[in-house]
Amino acid sequence: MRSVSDFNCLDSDSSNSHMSSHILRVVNKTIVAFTLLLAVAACSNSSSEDSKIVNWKRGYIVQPIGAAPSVVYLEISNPTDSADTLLGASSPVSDEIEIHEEMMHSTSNGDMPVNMVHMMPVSHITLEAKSSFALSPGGRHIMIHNLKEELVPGDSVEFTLKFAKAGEVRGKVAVIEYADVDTATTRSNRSR
Amino acid sequence: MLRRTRIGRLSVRLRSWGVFAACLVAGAGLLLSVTSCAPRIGEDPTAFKGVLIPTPTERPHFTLTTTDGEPYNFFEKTKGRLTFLFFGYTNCPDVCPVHMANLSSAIYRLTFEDRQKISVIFVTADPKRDTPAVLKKWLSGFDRSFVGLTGSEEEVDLVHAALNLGKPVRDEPRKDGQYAVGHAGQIIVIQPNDTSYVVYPFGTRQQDWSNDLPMLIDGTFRTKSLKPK
Repeated sequence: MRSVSDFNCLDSDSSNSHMSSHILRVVNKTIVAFTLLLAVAACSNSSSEDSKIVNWKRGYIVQPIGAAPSVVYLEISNPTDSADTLLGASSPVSDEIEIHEEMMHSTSNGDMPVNMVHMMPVSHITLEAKSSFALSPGGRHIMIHNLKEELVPGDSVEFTLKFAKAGEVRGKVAVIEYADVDTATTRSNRSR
Repeated sequence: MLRRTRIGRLSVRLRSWGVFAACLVAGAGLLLSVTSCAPRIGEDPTAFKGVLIPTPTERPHFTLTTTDGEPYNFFEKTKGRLTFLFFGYTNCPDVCPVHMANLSSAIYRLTFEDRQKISVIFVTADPKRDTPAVLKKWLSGFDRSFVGLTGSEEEVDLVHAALNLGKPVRDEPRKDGQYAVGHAGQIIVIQPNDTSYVVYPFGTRQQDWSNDLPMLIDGTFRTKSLKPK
Protein backbone atom coordinates (compact mmCIF):
# COMPACT_ATOMS: atom_id res chain seq x y z
CA MET A 1 0.00 0.00 0.00
CA ARG A 2 1.29 3.43 -0.89
CA SER A 3 0.52 6.68 0.69
CA VAL A 4 0.29 10.11 -0.86
CA SER A 5 -0.06 12.43 2.06
CA ASP A 6 -0.80 10.17 5.03
CA PHE A 7 2.62 9.57 6.55
CA ASN A 8 1.30 7.71 9.59
CA CYS A 9 1.40 4.47 7.63
CA LEU A 10 5.19 4.44 8.01
CA ASP A 11 4.62 3.19 11.55
CA SER A 12 3.45 -0.16 10.26
CA ASP A 13 6.81 -0.94 8.59
CA SER A 14 9.25 0.39 11.18
CA SER A 15 9.64 -2.56 13.58
CA ASN A 16 12.18 -5.32 12.94
CA SER A 17 13.38 -7.27 15.99
CA HIS A 18 16.68 -8.50 14.44
CA MET A 19 18.26 -5.14 13.76
CA SER A 20 21.26 -3.93 15.71
CA SER A 21 20.83 -0.70 17.67
CA HIS A 22 23.15 1.11 15.22
CA ILE A 23 21.15 0.06 12.22
CA LEU A 24 18.01 0.93 14.15
CA ARG A 25 19.34 4.43 14.81
CA VAL A 26 20.21 4.91 11.16
CA VAL A 27 16.85 3.50 10.13
CA ASN A 28 15.14 5.70 12.70
CA LYS A 29 16.93 8.76 11.36
CA THR A 30 15.99 7.76 7.86
CA ILE A 31 12.40 7.30 8.94
CA VAL A 32 12.39 10.67 10.68
CA ALA A 33 13.93 12.33 7.62
CA PHE A 34 11.54 10.55 5.31
CA THR A 35 8.58 11.40 7.54
CA LEU A 36 9.62 15.04 7.58
CA LEU A 37 10.00 14.98 3.83
CA LEU A 38 6.54 13.50 3.49
CA ALA A 39 5.19 15.94 6.07
CA VAL A 40 6.56 18.83 4.04
CA ALA A 41 5.10 17.27 0.92
CA ALA A 42 1.74 16.86 2.67
CA CYS A 43 1.74 20.39 4.05
CA SER A 44 2.57 21.95 0.74
CA ASN A 45 -0.05 19.61 -0.69
CA SER A 46 2.17 18.82 -3.64
CA SER A 47 2.32 15.09 -2.78
CA SER A 48 4.91 12.85 -4.38
CA GLU A 49 4.71 14.51 -7.76
CA ASP A 50 8.34 13.96 -8.65
CA SER A 51 8.43 10.32 -7.68
CA LYS A 52 7.63 7.78 -10.29
CA ILE A 53 4.40 6.49 -8.88
CA VAL A 54 0.77 7.10 -9.67
CA ASN A 55 -0.42 9.76 -7.26
CA TRP A 56 -3.23 12.21 -6.62
CA LYS A 57 -3.50 15.59 -4.98
CA ARG A 58 -5.78 18.57 -4.42
CA GLY A 59 -8.57 16.29 -3.20
CA TYR A 60 -11.78 17.87 -1.93
CA ILE A 61 -14.98 16.35 -0.58
CA VAL A 62 -17.98 18.66 -0.67
CA GLN A 63 -20.36 19.11 2.24
CA PRO A 64 -23.71 17.95 0.82
CA ILE A 65 -26.74 20.22 0.76
CA GLY A 66 -29.83 18.84 2.46
CA ALA A 67 -30.10 15.09 1.99
CA ALA A 68 -28.24 15.20 -1.34
CA PRO A 69 -25.19 13.02 -2.08
CA SER A 70 -21.64 14.30 -1.75
CA VAL A 71 -18.89 14.48 -4.33
CA VAL A 72 -15.09 14.27 -4.46
CA TYR A 73 -12.92 16.22 -6.89
CA LEU A 74 -9.16 15.62 -7.21
CA GLU A 75 -6.24 15.52 -9.62
CA ILE A 76 -4.54 12.28 -10.62
CA SER A 77 -1.20 11.97 -12.30
CA ASN A 78 0.56 8.99 -13.77
CA PRO A 79 4.28 9.81 -14.19
CA THR A 80 5.14 6.20 -15.05
CA ASP A 81 5.92 4.84 -18.49
CA SER A 82 2.90 2.56 -18.59
CA ALA A 83 -0.84 3.13 -18.57
CA ASP A 84 -2.85 2.37 -15.44
CA THR A 85 -6.54 2.21 -14.64
CA LEU A 86 -8.54 3.85 -11.85
CA LEU A 87 -10.88 1.13 -10.62
CA GLY A 88 -12.61 2.78 -7.70
CA ALA A 89 -12.37 4.65 -4.44
CA SER A 90 -13.04 4.02 -0.77
CA SER A 91 -13.34 6.06 2.40
CA PRO A 92 -14.45 5.48 5.99
CA VAL A 93 -17.26 8.02 5.46
CA SER A 94 -19.32 5.82 3.13
CA ASP A 95 -19.68 2.35 1.63
CA GLU A 96 -21.35 3.71 -1.50
CA ILE A 97 -18.72 5.43 -3.60
CA GLU A 98 -18.83 5.45 -7.40
CA ILE A 99 -16.96 7.03 -10.29
CA HIS A 100 -19.28 9.12 -12.44
CA GLU A 101 -19.00 10.98 -15.67
CA GLU A 102 -21.11 13.94 -16.69
CA MET A 103 -22.20 13.53 -20.31
CA MET A 104 -22.67 16.99 -21.74
CA HIS A 105 -23.80 17.96 -25.16
CA SER A 106 -24.89 21.24 -26.58
CA THR A 107 -27.74 21.31 -29.03
CA SER A 108 -30.04 23.96 -30.32
CA ASN A 109 -33.77 23.46 -29.91
CA GLY A 110 -35.41 26.02 -32.13
CA ASP A 111 -33.42 29.07 -31.20
CA MET A 112 -32.72 27.99 -27.63
CA PRO A 113 -29.12 26.86 -27.10
CA VAL A 114 -29.55 23.77 -24.91
CA ASN A 115 -26.73 22.45 -22.78
CA MET A 116 -27.89 18.92 -21.82
CA VAL A 117 -26.21 17.26 -18.83
CA HIS A 118 -26.61 13.62 -17.81
CA MET A 119 -24.59 11.83 -15.16
CA MET A 120 -23.53 8.20 -15.77
CA PRO A 121 -21.62 5.76 -13.57
CA VAL A 122 -18.38 4.51 -15.15
CA SER A 123 -16.58 1.29 -14.17
CA HIS A 124 -13.06 2.69 -14.59
CA ILE A 125 -10.95 5.51 -15.97
CA THR A 126 -7.84 4.85 -18.03
CA LEU A 127 -4.70 6.83 -17.20
CA GLU A 128 -2.32 7.02 -20.11
CA ALA A 129 1.41 6.82 -19.43
CA LYS A 130 2.90 10.18 -18.38
CA SER A 131 -0.45 11.90 -18.12
CA SER A 132 -2.52 13.71 -15.57
CA PHE A 133 -6.11 14.75 -15.36
CA ALA A 134 -8.59 16.30 -12.98
CA LEU A 135 -11.87 14.98 -11.70
CA SER A 136 -13.68 18.30 -11.74
CA PRO A 137 -17.15 19.85 -12.05
CA GLY A 138 -18.97 18.99 -15.25
CA GLY A 139 -16.47 16.25 -16.13
CA ARG A 140 -15.79 13.20 -14.01
CA HIS A 141 -16.31 13.02 -10.27
CA ILE A 142 -16.56 10.55 -7.44
CA MET A 143 -20.10 10.41 -6.05
CA ILE A 144 -20.73 9.48 -2.45
CA HIS A 145 -24.08 8.24 -1.17
CA ASN A 146 -25.27 7.61 2.40
CA LEU A 147 -22.61 9.41 4.39
CA LYS A 148 -21.98 7.83 7.79
CA GLU A 149 -21.01 11.12 9.38
CA GLU A 150 -21.54 14.81 8.92
CA LEU A 151 -18.90 16.53 6.81
CA VAL A 152 -17.68 19.76 8.40
CA PRO A 153 -15.81 22.27 6.21
CA GLY A 154 -12.25 22.61 7.51
CA ASP A 155 -12.07 18.93 8.45
CA SER A 156 -10.49 16.31 6.25
CA VAL A 157 -11.28 12.65 5.70
CA GLU A 158 -9.28 9.59 4.66
CA PHE A 159 -9.66 8.74 1.00
CA THR A 160 -8.19 5.91 -1.08
CA LEU A 161 -8.05 5.46 -4.83
CA LYS A 162 -7.62 1.96 -6.20
CA PHE A 163 -5.61 1.47 -9.38
CA ALA A 164 -5.12 -1.73 -11.41
CA LYS A 165 -1.30 -1.52 -11.27
CA ALA A 166 -0.43 1.00 -8.56
CA GLY A 167 -2.84 -0.59 -6.10
CA GLU A 168 -4.30 1.50 -3.32
CA VAL A 169 -3.07 5.09 -3.09
CA ARG A 170 -4.18 6.67 0.16
CA GLY A 171 -4.51 10.30 1.11
CA LYS A 172 -6.87 12.82 2.59
CA VAL A 173 -9.52 15.03 1.09
CA ALA A 174 -10.41 18.38 2.63
CA VAL A 175 -14.06 19.13 3.32
CA ILE A 176 -15.26 22.27 1.52
CA GLU A 177 -18.59 23.94 0.77
CA TYR A 178 -20.18 24.02 -2.68
CA ALA A 179 -19.56 27.78 -2.84
CA ASP A 180 -15.80 27.05 -2.72
CA VAL A 181 -15.77 24.35 -5.43
CA ASP A 182 -15.37 27.04 -8.09
CA THR A 183 -12.02 28.25 -6.77
CA ALA A 184 -10.83 24.88 -5.40
CA THR A 185 -11.10 22.97 -8.66
CA THR A 186 -9.67 23.50 -12.10
CA ARG A 187 -11.65 23.47 -15.29
CA SER A 188 -12.68 20.06 -16.52
CA ASN A 189 -9.97 18.17 -18.35
CA ARG A 190 -11.70 15.53 -20.36
CA SER A 191 -8.71 13.99 -22.10
CA ARG A 192 -8.30 10.30 -21.45
CA MET B 1 -14.56 6.66 12.48
CA LEU B 2 -11.91 7.96 14.82
CA ARG B 3 -12.93 8.50 18.40
CA ARG B 4 -11.36 11.86 19.12
CA THR B 5 -10.74 13.60 22.39
CA ARG B 6 -11.40 17.32 22.56
CA ILE B 7 -7.69 18.17 22.23
CA GLY B 8 -7.13 15.42 19.68
CA ARG B 9 -9.98 16.76 17.64
CA LEU B 10 -8.61 20.27 17.95
CA SER B 11 -5.17 19.22 16.74
CA VAL B 12 -6.70 17.22 13.91
CA ARG B 13 -8.74 20.28 13.06
CA LEU B 14 -5.70 22.54 13.21
CA ARG B 15 -3.75 20.18 10.99
CA SER B 16 -6.59 19.87 8.52
CA TRP B 17 -6.96 23.64 8.59
CA GLY B 18 -3.27 23.83 7.72
CA VAL B 19 -3.74 21.49 4.78
CA PHE B 20 -6.92 23.33 3.86
CA ALA B 21 -5.13 26.67 4.03
CA ALA B 22 -2.34 25.23 1.89
CA CYS B 23 -4.95 23.99 -0.56
CA LEU B 24 -6.55 27.44 -0.62
CA VAL B 25 -3.19 29.09 -1.23
CA ALA B 26 -2.42 26.56 -3.96
CA GLY B 27 -5.91 27.10 -5.40
CA ALA B 28 -5.53 30.86 -5.32
CA GLY B 29 -2.11 30.58 -6.94
CA LEU B 30 -3.47 28.37 -9.67
CA LEU B 31 -6.44 30.68 -10.17
CA LEU B 32 -4.10 33.64 -10.45
CA SER B 33 -1.92 31.85 -12.97
CA VAL B 34 -5.01 30.80 -14.93
CA THR B 35 -6.64 34.22 -14.85
CA SER B 36 -3.40 36.04 -15.59
CA CYS B 37 -2.95 33.89 -18.67
CA ALA B 38 -6.61 33.99 -19.70
CA PRO B 39 -6.99 37.41 -21.31
CA ARG B 40 -5.32 37.19 -24.69
CA ILE B 41 -4.30 40.20 -26.70
CA GLY B 42 -7.35 42.05 -27.94
CA GLU B 43 -9.68 40.13 -25.62
CA ASP B 44 -11.62 42.20 -23.10
CA PRO B 45 -11.73 40.37 -19.76
CA THR B 46 -14.78 42.42 -18.77
CA ALA B 47 -16.68 41.32 -21.90
CA PHE B 48 -20.14 39.89 -21.34
CA LYS B 49 -19.95 36.12 -20.71
CA GLY B 50 -23.58 35.06 -21.23
CA VAL B 51 -24.67 33.13 -24.33
CA LEU B 52 -27.11 35.13 -26.43
CA ILE B 53 -30.30 33.47 -27.68
CA PRO B 54 -30.51 34.20 -31.45
CA THR B 55 -34.23 34.97 -31.20
CA PRO B 56 -35.14 36.39 -27.77
CA THR B 57 -38.14 34.69 -26.16
CA GLU B 58 -40.94 35.97 -23.94
CA ARG B 59 -41.23 35.32 -20.24
CA PRO B 60 -43.01 31.94 -20.15
CA HIS B 61 -46.46 31.35 -18.69
CA PHE B 62 -46.83 28.30 -16.46
CA THR B 63 -48.12 27.40 -13.02
CA LEU B 64 -46.39 24.88 -10.74
CA THR B 65 -46.42 24.28 -6.98
CA THR B 66 -44.11 25.91 -4.41
CA THR B 67 -42.33 24.01 -1.66
CA ASP B 68 -45.10 25.23 0.65
CA GLY B 69 -47.72 23.57 -1.54
CA GLU B 70 -49.05 26.84 -2.98
CA PRO B 71 -49.75 27.32 -6.70
CA TYR B 72 -47.14 29.59 -8.31
CA ASN B 73 -48.06 31.46 -11.47
CA PHE B 74 -44.57 32.02 -12.82
CA PHE B 75 -45.41 34.92 -15.13
CA GLU B 76 -47.49 36.84 -12.59
CA LYS B 77 -45.07 36.28 -9.70
CA THR B 78 -41.90 37.21 -11.57
CA LYS B 79 -43.00 39.74 -14.23
CA GLY B 80 -40.93 42.91 -14.30
CA ARG B 81 -38.14 41.24 -12.34
CA LEU B 82 -34.69 40.07 -13.36
CA THR B 83 -35.31 36.32 -13.17
CA PHE B 84 -32.92 33.36 -13.17
CA LEU B 85 -34.63 30.08 -14.09
CA PHE B 86 -32.89 26.75 -13.66
CA PHE B 87 -33.96 23.11 -13.99
CA GLY B 88 -32.31 20.22 -12.17
CA TYR B 89 -32.65 17.74 -9.34
CA THR B 90 -31.38 17.52 -5.79
CA ASN B 91 -29.83 14.02 -6.08
CA CYS B 92 -27.32 15.56 -8.46
CA PRO B 93 -23.98 16.09 -6.66
CA ASP B 94 -22.14 17.91 -9.42
CA VAL B 95 -23.75 20.18 -12.02
CA CYS B 96 -26.86 21.38 -10.13
CA PRO B 97 -25.33 22.36 -6.78
CA VAL B 98 -22.15 23.81 -8.35
CA HIS B 99 -24.14 25.92 -10.83
CA MET B 100 -26.52 27.08 -8.06
CA ALA B 101 -23.69 27.79 -5.62
CA ASN B 102 -21.78 29.86 -8.18
CA LEU B 103 -24.84 31.98 -8.98
CA SER B 104 -25.87 32.39 -5.35
CA SER B 105 -22.32 33.30 -4.27
CA ALA B 106 -22.18 36.06 -6.88
CA ILE B 107 -25.67 37.31 -5.95
CA TYR B 108 -24.64 37.34 -2.30
CA ARG B 109 -21.82 39.77 -3.12
CA LEU B 110 -24.24 42.29 -4.69
CA THR B 111 -25.60 45.23 -2.75
CA PHE B 112 -28.83 44.77 -0.81
CA GLU B 113 -30.65 47.02 -3.31
CA ASP B 114 -29.50 44.95 -6.29
CA ARG B 115 -30.37 41.68 -4.58
CA GLN B 116 -33.97 42.89 -4.17
CA LYS B 117 -34.30 43.11 -7.97
CA ILE B 118 -33.54 39.42 -8.53
CA SER B 119 -35.70 36.28 -8.42
CA VAL B 120 -34.11 32.83 -8.63
CA ILE B 121 -36.48 29.99 -9.51
CA PHE B 122 -35.46 26.31 -9.46
CA VAL B 123 -37.79 23.81 -11.15
CA THR B 124 -37.15 20.16 -10.33
CA ALA B 125 -36.78 17.74 -13.23
CA ASP B 126 -37.26 14.87 -10.75
CA PRO B 127 -40.53 15.54 -8.88
CA LYS B 128 -40.85 11.95 -7.60
CA ARG B 129 -37.82 12.28 -5.33
CA ASP B 130 -37.83 16.06 -4.97
CA THR B 131 -40.81 16.37 -2.68
CA PRO B 132 -41.63 19.92 -1.52
CA ALA B 133 -39.82 19.22 1.79
CA VAL B 134 -36.68 17.84 0.08
CA LEU B 135 -36.62 20.74 -2.36
CA LYS B 136 -37.13 23.35 0.35
CA LYS B 137 -34.29 21.98 2.47
CA TRP B 138 -31.95 21.81 -0.53
CA LEU B 139 -32.67 25.37 -1.72
CA SER B 140 -32.27 26.80 1.77
CA GLY B 141 -28.69 25.49 1.54
CA PHE B 142 -28.09 28.22 -1.07
CA ASP B 143 -30.46 31.07 -0.29
CA ARG B 144 -33.81 31.11 1.49
CA SER B 145 -35.18 33.57 -1.04
CA PHE B 146 -34.80 31.05 -3.90
CA VAL B 147 -38.13 29.63 -5.04
CA GLY B 148 -38.44 25.87 -5.61
CA LEU B 149 -41.18 24.61 -7.92
CA THR B 150 -42.52 21.13 -8.45
CA GLY B 151 -45.50 19.32 -9.97
CA SER B 152 -46.16 16.00 -11.65
CA GLU B 153 -43.57 14.68 -14.13
CA GLU B 154 -45.97 15.61 -16.93
CA GLU B 155 -46.32 19.16 -15.60
CA VAL B 156 -42.58 19.84 -15.28
CA ASP B 157 -41.97 18.20 -18.69
CA LEU B 158 -44.51 20.59 -20.25
CA VAL B 159 -42.58 23.54 -18.81
CA HIS B 160 -39.34 22.16 -20.29
CA ALA B 161 -41.07 21.81 -23.67
CA ALA B 162 -42.52 25.32 -23.49
CA LEU B 163 -38.99 26.67 -23.07
CA ASN B 164 -37.55 24.49 -25.87
CA LEU B 165 -35.37 22.66 -23.34
CA GLY B 166 -36.17 19.15 -24.53
CA LYS B 167 -37.53 16.45 -22.21
CA PRO B 168 -35.73 15.39 -19.02
CA VAL B 169 -34.31 11.85 -19.27
CA ARG B 170 -35.00 9.86 -16.11
CA ASP B 171 -32.94 6.66 -15.95
CA GLU B 172 -34.45 3.37 -14.74
CA PRO B 173 -33.98 3.14 -10.95
CA ARG B 174 -31.26 0.68 -9.90
CA LYS B 175 -31.69 -1.95 -7.18
CA ASP B 176 -30.74 0.63 -4.55
CA GLY B 177 -33.37 3.02 -5.91
CA GLN B 178 -30.82 5.50 -7.26
CA TYR B 179 -31.14 6.96 -10.72
CA ALA B 180 -29.73 9.92 -12.60
CA VAL B 181 -31.73 12.50 -14.53
CA GLY B 182 -30.55 14.14 -17.74
CA HIS B 183 -31.68 17.73 -17.95
CA ALA B 184 -30.89 21.13 -19.44
CA GLY B 185 -27.82 22.54 -17.72
CA GLN B 186 -28.25 26.20 -18.53
CA ILE B 187 -29.61 28.96 -16.35
CA ILE B 188 -32.09 31.09 -18.30
CA VAL B 189 -32.17 34.81 -17.57
CA ILE B 190 -35.36 36.79 -18.15
CA GLN B 191 -35.06 40.57 -18.15
CA PRO B 192 -37.43 43.01 -16.40
CA ASN B 193 -38.95 43.73 -19.86
CA ASP B 194 -40.18 40.10 -19.75
CA THR B 195 -37.89 39.00 -22.57
CA SER B 196 -35.14 36.43 -22.37
CA TYR B 197 -32.00 37.18 -24.36
CA VAL B 198 -29.35 35.13 -22.66
CA VAL B 199 -28.52 31.78 -21.04
CA TYR B 200 -25.60 30.59 -18.92
CA PRO B 201 -24.44 27.02 -19.61
CA PHE B 202 -22.85 24.90 -16.93
CA GLY B 203 -19.24 25.94 -16.42
CA THR B 204 -20.10 29.58 -15.70
CA ARG B 205 -17.77 30.61 -12.90
CA GLN B 206 -18.35 32.97 -10.02
CA GLN B 207 -16.12 35.60 -11.60
CA ASP B 208 -18.19 35.34 -14.81
CA TRP B 209 -21.40 35.91 -12.86
CA SER B 210 -19.83 38.78 -10.91
CA ASN B 211 -18.74 40.29 -14.22
CA ASP B 212 -22.17 39.94 -15.84
CA LEU B 213 -24.65 40.56 -13.01
CA PRO B 214 -24.26 44.38 -13.02
CA MET B 215 -24.82 44.41 -16.81
CA LEU B 216 -27.89 42.19 -16.43
CA ILE B 217 -29.25 44.41 -13.65
CA ASP B 218 -28.87 47.70 -15.54
CA GLY B 219 -29.59 46.17 -18.96
CA THR B 220 -26.31 47.37 -20.50
CA PHE B 221 -25.37 43.80 -21.50
CA ARG B 222 -27.40 44.29 -24.70
CA THR B 223 -25.06 46.98 -25.98
CA LYS B 224 -21.88 45.53 -24.47
CA SER B 225 -22.47 42.01 -25.81
CA LEU B 226 -23.07 43.33 -29.31
CA LYS B 227 -19.69 45.03 -29.51
CA PRO B 228 -17.42 43.48 -32.11
CA LYS B 229 -15.04 40.99 -30.53
